[in-house]
Amino acid sequence: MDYGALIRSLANFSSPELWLYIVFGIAIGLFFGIVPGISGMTAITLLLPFIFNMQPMTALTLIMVILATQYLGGGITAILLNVPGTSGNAATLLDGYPMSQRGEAGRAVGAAEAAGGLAHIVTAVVALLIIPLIVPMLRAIVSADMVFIVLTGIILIGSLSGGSLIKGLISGGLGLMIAFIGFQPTTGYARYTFGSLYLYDGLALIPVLLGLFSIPEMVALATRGGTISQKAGTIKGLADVWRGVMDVFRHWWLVVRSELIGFIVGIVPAAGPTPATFIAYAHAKQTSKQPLNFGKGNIEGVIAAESANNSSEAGDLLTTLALGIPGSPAMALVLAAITMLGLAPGPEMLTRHLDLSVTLMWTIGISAVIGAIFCILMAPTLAKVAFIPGRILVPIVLVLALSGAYAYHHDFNDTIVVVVFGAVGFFMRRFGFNRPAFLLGFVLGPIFEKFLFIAHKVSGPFFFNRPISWGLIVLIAFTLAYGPIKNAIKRRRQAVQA
Amino acid sequence: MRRAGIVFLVIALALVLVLGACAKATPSPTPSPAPAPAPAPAPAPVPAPAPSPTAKPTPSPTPTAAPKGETPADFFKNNVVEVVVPYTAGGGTDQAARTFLAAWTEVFGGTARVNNMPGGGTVVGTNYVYKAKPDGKTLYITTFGSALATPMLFGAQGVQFEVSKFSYFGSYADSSPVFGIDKRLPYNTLEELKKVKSLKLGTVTSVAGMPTSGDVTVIYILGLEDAQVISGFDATPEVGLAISRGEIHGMVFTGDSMLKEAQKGIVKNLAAVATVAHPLVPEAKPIGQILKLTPDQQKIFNLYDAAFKSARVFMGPPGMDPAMVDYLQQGMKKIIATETYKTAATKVFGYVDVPIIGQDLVKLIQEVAATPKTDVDLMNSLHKKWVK
Amino acid sequence: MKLKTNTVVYSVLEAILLFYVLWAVFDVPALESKLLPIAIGGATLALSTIGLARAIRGEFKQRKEAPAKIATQEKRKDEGEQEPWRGSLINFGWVVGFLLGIYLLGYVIAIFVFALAYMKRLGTRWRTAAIGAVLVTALIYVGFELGLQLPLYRGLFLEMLGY
Repeated sequence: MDYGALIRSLANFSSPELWLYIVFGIAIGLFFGIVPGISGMTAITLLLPFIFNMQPMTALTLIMVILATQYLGGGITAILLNVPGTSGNAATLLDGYPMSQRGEAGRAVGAAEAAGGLAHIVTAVVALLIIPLIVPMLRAIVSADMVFIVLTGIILIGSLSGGSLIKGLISGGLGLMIAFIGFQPTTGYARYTFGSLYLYDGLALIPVLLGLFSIPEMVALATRGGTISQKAGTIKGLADVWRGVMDVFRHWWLVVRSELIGFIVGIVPAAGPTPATFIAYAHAKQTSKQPLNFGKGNIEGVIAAESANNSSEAGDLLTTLALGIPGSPAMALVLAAITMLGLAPGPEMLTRHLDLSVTLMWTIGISAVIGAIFCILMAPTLAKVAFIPGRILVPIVLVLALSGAYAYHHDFNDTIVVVVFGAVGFFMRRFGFNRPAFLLGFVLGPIFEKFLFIAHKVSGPFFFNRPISWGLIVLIAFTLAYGPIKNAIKRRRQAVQA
Repeated sequence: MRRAGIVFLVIALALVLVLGACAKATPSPTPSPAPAPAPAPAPAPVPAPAPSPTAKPTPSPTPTAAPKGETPADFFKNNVVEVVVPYTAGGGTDQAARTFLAAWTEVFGGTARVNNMPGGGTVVGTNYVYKAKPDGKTLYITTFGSALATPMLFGAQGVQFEVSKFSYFGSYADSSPVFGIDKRLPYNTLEELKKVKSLKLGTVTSVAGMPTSGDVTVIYILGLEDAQVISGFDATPEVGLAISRGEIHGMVFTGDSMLKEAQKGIVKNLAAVATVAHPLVPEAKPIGQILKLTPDQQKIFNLYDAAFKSARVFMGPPGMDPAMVDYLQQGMKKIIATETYKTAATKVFGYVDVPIIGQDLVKLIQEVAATPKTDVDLMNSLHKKWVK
Repeated sequence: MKLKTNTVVYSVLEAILLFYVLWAVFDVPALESKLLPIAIGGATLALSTIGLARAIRGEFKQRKEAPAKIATQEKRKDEGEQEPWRGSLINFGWVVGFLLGIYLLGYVIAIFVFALAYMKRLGTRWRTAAIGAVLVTALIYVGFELGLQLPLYRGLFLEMLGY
């Protein structure tokens, strides 16, 4: 690989036109990330008609900046309103919103933005360095290995369980079961559609997400009265936000692990940012010294989630450029733009058009840092949302949630799904079932089923008899044993001290 | 600093709204004068085939005349047209639609807006267009094979349309399917492949009851009883990746997709599963020129060639004004001839194809509709036999 | 005998899961299509059965020991951590009403009516509610219809009238 391109491509940033597109893209990305239901993908779809007339560098720069900054915007809504701006911010609200309720919205936003900005710049550099390895790496991981990669994520459902392990596992099981609605990925037969064309393609993630999390919390706020923040107190301005930023550096090892998880999941085709954010969150909970605080406003939860979802972008882009396989619907649009610009995704993007690819990676990092700084400066103002009376805020958030669901696919049925899952989320919250575990099952179920059957058809019943698969099986066993071993050691230490 | 940030966001929001507003209909300053449309003969009716098992067709509306005093030329100049595409944004057909519509304003003077309507494997979009008002404001770009021919021949869940009743303008961007195998395999001809045991080909999942697989056709022609077609992949590059990992041995996809996989060094293309070679993959000769086909193999090949075309069809709801239909047919010819389209098509497809306009397309649909049921049943049985 | 919440919840869950598994067994074609729904559904059903058994056992045990005291403690614990049932259900009812309103009247009208009515219901003054309703309706209309070129669903009544 021509490592000189890493430096040469920086010369592209001397163009004022490129900077104009970067700033424009940041504004669009943040805006579309903040509004629930629409995301960077909506923005890019609107831009597609103009792509033909643009230069590849500027067109792709604009697109990548929008995709990179959408999670920064989405994290804000997740923390302040318990409504994820994008699906990648779903895990952020688990601890971000409770922090808002505690009057620590500024700290949560500061941590989220710092973690996100840092994740983009670090993983952009890592992606650039591993360009020569990416194609051999992806070709070495076969469908059988994918089964165990996804299974690693699924077993983390247990870690998300919280109070009652049985209820947590049931929640995860229910999520998997709901994911099976629609046509089966390998046979094409419809399941649980009851003749409905809408259900034929399964339930979409965004409406389920909006319903599961936003509606129960808004109903609770309306019933309880008051404001989101249940702790009266002065807003400490930038000091509070800065504390959140410092938290990211204090938990540097968690940041590294979460970024690694996000980046690897991003590289894996068909995974996307949503599994990345939940897997990192579950891992953070499992390895935390205070796991019982997760879900109640633990800053580690916010840091892990935002580090992972923002890291997945660079990995996703790398796979898209190198192999032409999009890891997420957003990257499918990037692929379309690349084709419409007359370029061919594949090895050529990393050889003949290496300068362009490298510039895109740098753009992700630079734009995310600028976007994060902007959001951090805005955070003290934004944090005041937590003090807006619920009687004004609740109707507005509900309007945004139901309208956002419609904006997703222009289908009224999505709005119905939001309300149905609002009911599901309401009762889950009421009776102590675990919504994050449900969502993890929902997201990973179809991927797991698809690779399981492909692996079986390709390699027979002993498809796991491969070094990488065995390595992953050992990792799964370790992950399962980690919790009980940790508890056993802890009990032994306590017994010795007593 | 915070105020500056708020001002910045407001300006950005305003820019977004301006951008959105610019995408609305703005007549071009010097519109190309549309020729007065000659009175068009009513399009030849396509004989209705046996309705699919789940179809609930609605009666075809009487053709709607254009509003008094407004010619089709004026209508398309002054109105925003919604072009439904039954796939998500960014997919192959969506790109093809946007490529075609890149020259819309240049030819018609008005604006066309893509409305992505995925769902039910194109059935949602097709139902919507079938029930839309035939006033010219709702048009459709879809794939010939999966959206029209397959439901017509094999049936599909939730179909509420009759293929024969739509208003057809033309088709474009057809791409002959090409069969390619792993470059590392020691076989270079179809004859050599006939001796291979346990050949595994990969394909994108077909919606149950709707065979779309060229792999089945190839296996049948090669006579490989122990071969397997492995479905479950989402798109061509994923199948290509599976080939490079050694999980499967080959695939059949559109010529431009197979060219990309060959350029990545993954496959070598052996034959076109069509009557003509793909212009970008000339080394892959039509399979009928390479091997002598038995009568049954010829039937299956003919069915696949006719019914599973990847050509994009530009069409409208049933009952459109014949003058409007003719205008759009002529307009389509003009779009394909513009430099704008040619440049865009060269970027997206790699070449500029020859479209099929008007009556020629209707005739093609009639031929597909006339496919004997025995051939359809045979294709179904082969699909059930080999697709795992 | 009045059943505890957990027992009722697990019982309802059992019924749903049983339906799910049986549907997969009898209605889903092809073994490959039904395998995972049966496996996962079955495993979840088993877990739910364990949960139900524990809930019933715990209930019987507690009723034997100090029924009145435990019942009061449980009730206090429930209400201390959660909002009252009645209020929550009423507020959820508003959400369902909003959905119905969108279906009948379309987004723009339903948003204005809902925002105004619900803000007032929650205790906002008329003027604030009116301003809030206008602003949020304008935001959605301008943002979605004009900005994003996304025509909002007009509602059953307007569509019947031909708009």
